[in-house]
Amino acid sequence: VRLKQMIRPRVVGPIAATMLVTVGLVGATYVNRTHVAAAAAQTAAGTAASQILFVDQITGQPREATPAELEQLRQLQQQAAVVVAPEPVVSEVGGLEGLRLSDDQMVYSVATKKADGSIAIGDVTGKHGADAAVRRAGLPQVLTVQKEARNDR
Amino acid sequence: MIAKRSRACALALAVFVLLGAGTRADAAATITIINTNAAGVGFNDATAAAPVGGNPGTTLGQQRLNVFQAAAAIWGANIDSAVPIRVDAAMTALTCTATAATLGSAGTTNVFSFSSGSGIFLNTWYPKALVNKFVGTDVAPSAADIRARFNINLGNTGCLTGTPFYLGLDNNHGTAIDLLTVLLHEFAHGLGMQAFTAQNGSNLGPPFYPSVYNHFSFDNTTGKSWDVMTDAERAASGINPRNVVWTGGNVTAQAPFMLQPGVPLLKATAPFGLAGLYQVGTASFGAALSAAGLSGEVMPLSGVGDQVLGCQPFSAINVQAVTNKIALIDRGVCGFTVKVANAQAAGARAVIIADNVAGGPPAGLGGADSTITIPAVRITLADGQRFKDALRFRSRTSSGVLVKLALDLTQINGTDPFGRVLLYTPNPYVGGSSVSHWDTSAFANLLMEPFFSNDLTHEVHSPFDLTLEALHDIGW
Repeated sequence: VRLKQMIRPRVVGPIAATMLVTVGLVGATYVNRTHVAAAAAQTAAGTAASQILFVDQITGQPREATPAELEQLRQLQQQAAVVVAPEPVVSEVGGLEGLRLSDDQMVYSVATKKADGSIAIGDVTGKHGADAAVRRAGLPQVLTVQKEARNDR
Repeated sequence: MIAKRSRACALALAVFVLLGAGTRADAAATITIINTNAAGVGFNDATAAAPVGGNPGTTLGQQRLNVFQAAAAIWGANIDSAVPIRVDAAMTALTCTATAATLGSAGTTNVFSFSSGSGIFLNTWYPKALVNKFVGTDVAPSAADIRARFNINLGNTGCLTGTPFYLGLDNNHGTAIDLLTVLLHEFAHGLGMQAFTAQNGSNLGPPFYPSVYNHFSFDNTTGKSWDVMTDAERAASGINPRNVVWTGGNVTAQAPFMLQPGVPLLKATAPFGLAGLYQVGTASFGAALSAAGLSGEVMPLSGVGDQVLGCQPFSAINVQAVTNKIALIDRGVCGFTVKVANAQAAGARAVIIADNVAGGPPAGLGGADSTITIPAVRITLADGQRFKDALRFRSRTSSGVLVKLALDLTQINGTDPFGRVLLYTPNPYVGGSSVSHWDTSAFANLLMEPFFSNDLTHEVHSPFDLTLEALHDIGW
């Protein structure tokens, strides 16, 4: 009964909920296959926002995000969305049409330590996205509060 | 800086492309690591280090450089170009926290396209190193071909604390991160294993040309290759799970030697409106699916709360419903093993878990319970709803919904029915992972899957891997 009460849908406001969903996706890109699927699935469902809560890293209990955490998430979302466009160039030899790529077209490999101490490694596109993904991992986890999440592969 | 030249010069070059391609030797390529670290830093760190795992370096910097050079040597021994490939490399501070870190990045510094010629895709972005190979000379000598930046602080306090790069060359990395594997993966992106397509389907640009990678990315649903799709079509294809494949002949030819046969499937045979194949995620517990398969009638649970979710011992009504049947249970509240164990105790022959959140492909079912002996699979929320719609007209003991759970040994896992290797296109889109990697259903595990597996070797070609074959497909 207690668990069901904890997962009772909570609405933190449409803007905040949307932000949680989006940043949750960013964070999920490098966690592991199942976390990707779980978080991704949450984000796709129209009602999924109400299923997403923070899990406090100290108490392990689900709770709503503080205004400061929401602001951090908002900033990370904005940071991840920044993309430095490639610059048109022409090759020195042969005059080929080209693009000089920025750090935001590079592929970044990001590692995250999971709750069980193991390391998950995955790719993120662009420096801004990678930086946001790393910093996102330092915030309380955005997870569905369902027991399966602990068992998911 | 790359100087501007005339279009006429580009046309002349295109002719040269053909000559260069036709006269290339079958030898390897020289890949040079350009150490761009300052004195005393990164590759030049003079801190003493004991040789490790076949890496003979005696300083931290030399060991790092040796690993980069080992990755370059592996790729250099496998691909073919008369033009040396230069990697601008540095170990530098990258973003990290105590529990997460950017390991590094790599990618081509430039992409170029051809406006004329044959044997190549025109108005298509190629990575610089591959363009150099085609042309037979470095078309932009003022720029390196690949840029690589890796984290100098990894493993230090506050930077994925306690988990450094393993600098050995023998893959015996234990709990550390095998730098050589990460480099092989990221260098492959720099050599052309990268779609460059944005989440909204937009090509790289301007000008907005498809990448050579896009030419080999094909959507089985629409029957279109990514290079001829509209932005909207590419965006939709990028979230079309397990329906986008690589059409390159080299990969397809070698896939049977690399990937194991046996695709898990759920086949509905009745009622007519439900009939068809459904994607499933398999369980890490219980009986594995077999080629012979298990056929049966599907029955859902009834009741309220935990009763309908299978989290408590089944009610008499539900026992009556699922005995000798395949139980359909929603995901939620309790663990998968709890649901399946309860279904097994009630006499069910198998369990189908319907996901409770949208998206796909269906993930596996995690957990462990050695007492479970029946098979279980997961289907997507959408597919679960289709089954529920068909189950509305059931009696207490019969539904008329007939399925078969089996392992299709005629199909290689990680491929479509035509043997073409699947690309990773989950829904929702996963930036950095979607499209530019193989699907995670591939087994044995592949270097260019979006998530690293601990059982990867340092081989990049069949029958150990398919990355080299993909590079051959795009022109290497």
